Amino acid sequence: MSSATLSMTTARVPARRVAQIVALLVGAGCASAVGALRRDAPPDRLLVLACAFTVLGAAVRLGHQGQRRSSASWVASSAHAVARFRASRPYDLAVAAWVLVVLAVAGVDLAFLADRSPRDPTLSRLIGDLTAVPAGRAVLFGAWLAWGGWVALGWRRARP
Amino acid sequence: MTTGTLIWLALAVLAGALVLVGALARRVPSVADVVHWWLESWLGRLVLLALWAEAGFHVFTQRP
Repeated sequence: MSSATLSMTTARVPARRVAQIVALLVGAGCASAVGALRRDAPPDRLLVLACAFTVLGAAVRLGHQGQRRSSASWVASSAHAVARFRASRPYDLAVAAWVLVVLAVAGVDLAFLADRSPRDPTLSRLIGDLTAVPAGRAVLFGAWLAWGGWVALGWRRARP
Repeated sequence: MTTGTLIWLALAVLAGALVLVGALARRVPSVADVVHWWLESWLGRLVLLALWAEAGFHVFTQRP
């Protein structure tokens, strides 16, 4: 491909799209590397920390840009938001169901932890089994990185 | 499949059903609604990011 053609191609692709593709490729590369490394190896820790700090750095770099509310108004309005949702009965039922699920997860985990039977795995052991396999570790790390990237950069809208 | 694994599977199905109901029923806040609400402010975003970083460090760098 000639340089003229290349520059025409890159001119047509928005810089934002290029950055997204590069981030996706780098993220996939990091996930593969983490999958290939041992969990407690120093390079693995460094890579995980580097990814976490890159995402946190990106969030700080963008800062307040695109946040719908200031932190103070968000805290102040949280009571109104809860009251708005609470106005419906389905809301109460949904909250009760979620509370039950969370309590059940905590209770089962604690019971299995106390039991220490190999037939009853704790949540930590289930995740440990998944991350012991390179493919599972790579996929879970990729999902973690994608989620963090979205939390750092996504859902930024101008204030109304 | 052991009893313990079946219990975890049942809880996962229950949580998945709740996520589905939240996504389909308009009067029930969905998981996305809750996350979007946290992301509306810089403070909420930072809290979520701190939890995310801690979870990742725990899962990917610590021995199980």
